[in-house]
Order: sequence, then C-alpha cells, then structure tokens
Amino acid sequence: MILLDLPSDLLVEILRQLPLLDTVAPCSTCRHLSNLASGALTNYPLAEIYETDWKQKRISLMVMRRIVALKIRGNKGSYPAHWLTRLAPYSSHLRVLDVRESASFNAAMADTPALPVPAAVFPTVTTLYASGPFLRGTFFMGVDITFPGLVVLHMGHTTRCLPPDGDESCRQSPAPVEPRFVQLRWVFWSCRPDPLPVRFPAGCHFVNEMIEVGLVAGTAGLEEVLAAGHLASRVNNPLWAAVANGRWDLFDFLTAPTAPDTLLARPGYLREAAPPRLRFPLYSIDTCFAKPHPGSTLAVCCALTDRVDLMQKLVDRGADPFAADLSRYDGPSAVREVARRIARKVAPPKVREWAVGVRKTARHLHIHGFLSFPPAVQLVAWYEALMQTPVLEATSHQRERGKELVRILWDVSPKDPILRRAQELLEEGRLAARCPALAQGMLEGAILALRSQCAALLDLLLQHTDPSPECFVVGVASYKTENYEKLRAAHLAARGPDAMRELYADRTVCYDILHALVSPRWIWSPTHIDRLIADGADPMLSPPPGRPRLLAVVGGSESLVEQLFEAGHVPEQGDVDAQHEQPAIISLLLRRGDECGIRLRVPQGPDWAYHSRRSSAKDLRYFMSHGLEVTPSFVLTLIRTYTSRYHPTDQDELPELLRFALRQVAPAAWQPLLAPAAPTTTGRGSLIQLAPALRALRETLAAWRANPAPDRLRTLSEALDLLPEREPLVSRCVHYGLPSKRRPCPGIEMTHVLLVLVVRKWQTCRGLKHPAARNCIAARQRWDPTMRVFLERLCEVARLSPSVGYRASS
Amino acid sequence: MATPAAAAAAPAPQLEGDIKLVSEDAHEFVTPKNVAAQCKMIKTMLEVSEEQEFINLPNVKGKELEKVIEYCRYHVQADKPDSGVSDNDKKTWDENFVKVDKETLFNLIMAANYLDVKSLLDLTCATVANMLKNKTPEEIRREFNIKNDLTPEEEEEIKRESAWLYQ
Repeated sequence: MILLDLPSDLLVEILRQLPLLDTVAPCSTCRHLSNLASGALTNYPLAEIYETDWKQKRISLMVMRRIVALKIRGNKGSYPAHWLTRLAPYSSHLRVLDVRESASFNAAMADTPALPVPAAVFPTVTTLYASGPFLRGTFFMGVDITFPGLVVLHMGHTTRCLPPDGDESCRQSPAPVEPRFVQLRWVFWSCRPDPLPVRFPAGCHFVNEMIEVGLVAGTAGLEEVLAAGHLASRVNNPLWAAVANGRWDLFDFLTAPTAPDTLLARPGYLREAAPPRLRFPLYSIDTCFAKPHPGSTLAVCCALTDRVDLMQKLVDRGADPFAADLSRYDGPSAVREVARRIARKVAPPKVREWAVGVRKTARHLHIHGFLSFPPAVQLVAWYEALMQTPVLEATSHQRERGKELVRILWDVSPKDPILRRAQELLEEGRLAARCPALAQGMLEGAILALRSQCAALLDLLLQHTDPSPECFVVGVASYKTENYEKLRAAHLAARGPDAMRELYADRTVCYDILHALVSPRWIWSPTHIDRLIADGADPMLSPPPGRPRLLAVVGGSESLVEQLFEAGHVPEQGDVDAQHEQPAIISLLLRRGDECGIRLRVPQGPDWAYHSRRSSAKDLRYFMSHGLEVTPSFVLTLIRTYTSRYHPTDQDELPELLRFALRQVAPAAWQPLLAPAAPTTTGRGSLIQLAPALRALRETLAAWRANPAPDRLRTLSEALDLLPEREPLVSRCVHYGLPSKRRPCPGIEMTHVLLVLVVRKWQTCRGLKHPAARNCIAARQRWDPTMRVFLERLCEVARLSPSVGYRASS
Repeated sequence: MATPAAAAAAPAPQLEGDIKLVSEDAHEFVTPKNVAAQCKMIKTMLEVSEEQEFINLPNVKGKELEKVIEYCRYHVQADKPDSGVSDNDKKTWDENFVKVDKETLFNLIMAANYLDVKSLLDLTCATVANMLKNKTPEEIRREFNIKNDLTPEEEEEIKRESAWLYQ
C-alpha cells in the first residue's frame, strides 16, 4: 500500500494536519493531490481554521494575525505578483485561505479586539486584509507613529501608504509598500486607552475610527480628539460614526447649536455628511455627496438604526429622508428596504405628507419598487404623481402596476380617506384619461380580486374605462361569471351594440377567450360556451400559430369535451397531453380518436404517471395499448404521487395498480438507475441517479407508516423485491447516502428506507462492513415505537432474520 | 419514543467482560470490552447488543488490529486519573508507537478510520504529515513512491503559482 492508495478523505485528513502553506509541496507532486489541493484544501473555511487551529492552539496568536488572504491555487490574477513576492519573507508564518471566505474571516476577526494584543508586537506585526466588508468603505492610511515602518494597506481601494518619513506625496503611490502591514483598527486597539499621543501625519483624520473602537470617552473626549487635529471631513464625519455606533451622546453633542465650530460651522456640513461604512450596507461613500436636502441621507440612516427620534430631530432641522436620492443606492431592493423601514418607523401622517409633497420621489420610488410603502401612502403619492404627468404611454409595466394597486386597495379600509381620495380620482375619470394602461391593469386586478370591495372598484373603473380584450380574457378565466357580464355591458355601452361581435372578429382575441374558457381551471358551466358563441365567438377557430388546440388545453369536465366534439373538433395527436390531470378525459379523447379512426398515443414521462394515480390497472392497460411505456421512473413516480397525494377513493385500487405497473417493468430496465455514473470524484452523479428511487421509497414508507396494513407492506416488499440488483443500490446507498462525519451528503438523509436497505446489506455481509452502518444503528435508537413496529413487520414480510444481529423490536 | 434529550441523558451501559474481535484474516483477539469500546464503532455495536460474543471486523487485518488494541489498551490505562502517566509520557509512547514501516502506518490509518478511533487517526495522519513536511515535491515523490503524472505545462503552472514561496 502506498500513500495514494488511501481514500481521498483520509488524504485530506493528512494534509489538514499541515499548515496550509506546507501543503503546497505535496500537492505539487501529482494530479490527484493537486486536485485535492485545489478542492478541499483551498476551500478551507476560515472559521474552521480559526476554530480548530487557533482555538486549539495549533497556531499562535501571532500566526493567526498573520493570516493572509491568498489562495494557493485558482483565483489567479486577483492579486498582483508583487504582493506575493513581498510576502516571501513571511512565508513560514503565513496561512493560506480562500478570500471567498471573507465573511467568515471578518467574523473571526471581529472577535480579535477582545484579545490581549501587546503593543510591543506591533513593529513586526504583519496583517493583511484582502477584501470583504471589513474593509469596504474603510480608508486606511499609512501612519508613521510610534512604530516606525508601520504601514496600513487597503487592498480593496487605492493603496495608501506612507514611508517611514511620512512624506505625504507618497500617499497615493502603491510602489513603496513595506512588507509590514497593519490594519489601522488594530493600531487603535493596541493603543488603548491613550491613543492621543500617537502622532499622525498631517491630513490623516481618524476621529471616526476612534469613536468606533470606543476611544472617545464622552463629549469631552471628542473635543480632545478634535483638538488633537482629527478634523471632520466629508469622508470622515464623526456624526456618522456616532450614529453607526449608537453614540447618541456624541450625536446630540454634534448636532446641538453649541457644537464646536470645527464641525458645524463649516458650510454644507450636513449636506456633506457621509455615512460611515460597514453598518449601513446600503450606502457607500460615493452615494452620499451633495444631497439636495441637508441631512436627508443621515435621516435615512437614523431610521435604519431604529432611532426615529433622531431622524425626527433632523427632520425638524430641515432634513427630508424622502428627498434622499435613493436611486443612487444599490438597486431596487435596497430602495425598497429603505422605504419600508422609513415608512414603518415614521408616523403615517408625516409619511403621507412627505409622499404627497415629494411627487418626484414618489415617482422615483415607484420605478424602483414602490410597494414597500404602506398601501395608503403608495396610493396617494402615486396618484398625485401621476396626475402631474402627461398621458403615459401604455406599457405592460403599467398594467402590472395597475394590478398591484388593486392588491393594495384590498388592504385599505373602506373608511380610509385615502380610498375615498382614490375614488374621487377615479370618478373624475382622470386616471383613465391620463394612464389608460394603468386603468386596464386595475381592471384586470379588480376582476381577479374576487373581493366585494374590488367589485365596487370594478364597477367604478368600468364607468370610465372601456375594457380591453385582455380584460375579457381575464374575465372569462376568472371564477366569477358575472364579471363577463359586467365587462360585456361596459363594452357594449362604450362601443355600441355590435361591440361584442367586433371583439370576436379578432381571431386572436376570440381564440384567447375560448382558450381561457376551456382552460383546466375553468369552472363555468359548459353551457357558457353557448353564451360566447352567441356573442360571436367561433369555437371552430383554428389556433393561431404556435398555440395549442382547444382540445389540448381542455379541462374541467368531460361534458365540455363532448361539447367541443359536437362543435366539430376532432382529436389529433398532441391533444392528449400530460397536462390533462384527469385520466377520464384522456380516455375520452382516446376513445373519440378511436371512433374517428385516429390512433392517438398517450404522452410519456413521469408527469403522466402522476396523473395516472387515479387510474385503475384496466385504464393503465388501455393506455399501454395507446403507446404508454411503463418505465422504472414511471413506476417510482406512481409510487410517490400515489402516496403523497393519496385519495381515499383510490385506496383499494393502489395495490392492484402498483403491482400491475411493477410487473410491466423488465428487470433489466432498472439497470440504468443502478449503474454507476461516469466517474466523478465525489460520486455525486450516482447519487443523483439514485435520489428519485430513494425518495420514492422513502415517501412510500412515510405514507404507510401511520397505517401499516399487511397488504401495503406486502406491496412494498414486492416493490423492493422487484428492484433487481438491489445489492449495488444498497452498496451505493451505504457508501454515498448515509451521513457520516467525514462524508456529509446533502440531499440524501438517513431514512427509514435506507435503514431497511442497510439491514439487508447487513444480512448479506454478515457484519458491519462500513462505518455508515454504525450510523444506522445509532439512528435506530431514535426510532419511534410506531416505526419499530412497522419495521418489525416489514422485516417479517421481507424475511429478515433477527439472527443477523438486527432486531427491529429491540 | 424517547426524546433526544432523554436519550442523551440516559446512562451509558457498563461494559464488562471480554469480547472477541475477529480480523479480516481470521485472527481472533479476546479483548476487554472497555478497551474495545475505545473504537467508537465497536462501542456502538456493544451498546446495541451486549450479548454479542464476537465481532467480525472484515476491513482490518490481524496485524493492524493488534496494534489498534495495543493503542487502546495503553490509553485506557494511561488515561486513568490514578495512572501516574504524564502527558509527556503519553506523547513519547505515541511517538514510539507510530515508528512503523509506511505500509503498516497507512493500514493503521485505514483501521483507525474504520474503527473510528479519532485520536489514533489524528496521530497517524500527523505522522504522515510530518513526513511530508519540509520536502520538495521531488523528495516527496521519491519518499512515497508517487508517480509524477503532471504534464510539463501543469508543472510549470504550479511552479509559477508557488514561486513566491521559494524565493
């Protein structure tokens, strides 16, 4: 036996005993180890390193702090070569990890300030951060303070560094970076409790950082810091740090009329208020400059930090959170989040006032996802905004918005003044005039709403709006037959007595309405097709190109199918589609086809099996005569659907149908399910193949466990017995399927079926051949009594002998 | 049905007496159950059925099984509070224990994994890891009889990527 004969997981176990950097050499020896390196090793989660290596003292604090976010393999080009070469002197201390773990990294590092960090180590500290929210938005500066050569480097942004002499001209130059880096935060933490003696180069202001790490003790401390030269700037504003860190004492101090001139006397101070970094993920420095309303963004920030009182304070001083240009944030979802939070925190009248007053914002928010506002606010703001605009071009987007508006109205109390205002606007007809597409959308929404409140809205809308053909399609497809009548009346009133005939003269419209009528969800009486015919619909209409025939989409009742037959439709191949949920309709179509001399073929596939659950063995035989192929997947789907969607009236049919289906499958047909997949390193391919079978069997058991009637057990036993080559299946289950500590296998859980299979494997092997069997035993301890009884009986049926070491009742 | 909490609180069964362990090559080892129970796999089996008189271990050969039992027996004794064995003593014993030829070492790793003896698995893996340490790829290939199946391009790429390590 040689090293490479060991299983991959054990090889990884060996490599994991090495410092990650030391794995480079072994992983460069051959392809197998190289693959392990680029797979398991380089994906070492940082948290794991932190937990296992650092906490278990495998590595020292110093080494932990020298964790360098690099990868051995892959991720090429992420870091310039000179970075790597600079790290060379420290290679023996470096740890390599995947920068994609930056979240874990930051989580780990978030704890580090609590660690004792002796200041004496700083001259040699090497800490390098590569990416992640820990850095994003943070400005690091090179500082030459009491530790010569100490350099802060920020890889995520422009490299800023200072040579030891503190020459500011070099600040933006990436070239003279020393191979000793330290994050500024650490400097401050290490300098506690007295950071002020630290000399900072001119122009470097760290008041925010000091607030953040708790170095500013009260307002006096802040004054002291400011006096030491840490001036507020556009990008380094203590007000933000105060908000971000919940230092409301500082906030009050800074926003008080008596605030030091160094801050508030500066023109445009509030306008330039830049958010801090990490605490407000929606923000970035760049988005917060030059807001038209002073303090707007800051007010939003206050809302986000649950300090509505402070937001109110800013609002009282003229800030307007709704005036913040939210479009510059990170997309619609962010805007929705901001709007939702603000709207939730602020008293509704105030929000409403803002929303009405700031139409531009309302429109803007509408574009970006207006729905996060309270319904009433949305409605008013939107209407008010719309009323200020010229006629809008009809777009599907507006139609969708119209439907949304109706949904909003569901939640508005009938007594709400907002609804009354909405009604006024509707009654004035201004909405339909200015935005017809929106009105049509609202019509569709009202039709689909099925609420009495929306019935009134529908009536109101119909007073000013001629329903579009799409509204008719929706109306026919809806569950309320009177909707069609309402639409019809409005259409006739608007267009005259021939309006309906003109409507149906459009072949596409006619077809769409008929299509809606016969769609499977339709619940009208079939006689309504006569109503449509009377209005001018032609049921013999051939479908437009690319659209299915009416027979292919027909649902509801057999009588409707008969009615279409009477109207002259003849079934064709393709009409019998798997979407027909009722085998009775399939049978009817097949029979009608037979009568017309057309031999139709039934659809294949698992979907068809799902619908066949309501069939009998006789039906199945009939379908097989029309081309149905009963495959293993068909049978498995049948088992699954039968048990998961059990219908009481089907109970008696189940064993017969299932047995019949099982007998139709040749033993060799199961082979593809069991054959090994193409070689993969994880065996996942095989697993995916096995998953449906296992799931089906598991669900079968789950469905039957509550009532383990002997008949069903026997049927299940037959199902198991009919799975030929059970052994490979079991082996692979045992190998891949069972959870183990080192081989977690998402997707396949320890199931009772697997347990049964393992028991059989056990019986065969006369011993525990695989660690997974241990899990089996352990899991058995947790079986509930019902399951034990069930399995005991199952074992009887399956003729399992307790002498092999397994006793279901033990 | 016992709740998980109840199950967890249930006292572990006392393992008394001996158990016969049968290796793949039919070697039999009669071992105190508390020693055998250092192997979690065996422990689980014993907990399930205490009446078992022997356990087949078809994946472990006699030679390795004997070593595993030796390891377990030592640590059962050494871990007793009144044993007087210091951590250093244990460390020294472990170091001597794994001074075996490579094939035996690899087989021990397999056996420790199969029998689920975590401390032995860590020990043996660490031993192999130490053998890998501070060696060049070529030295590792020679030491462990690894055939270099990397193409020249792949080798070049690996060298290029890790060049900074060797500067």
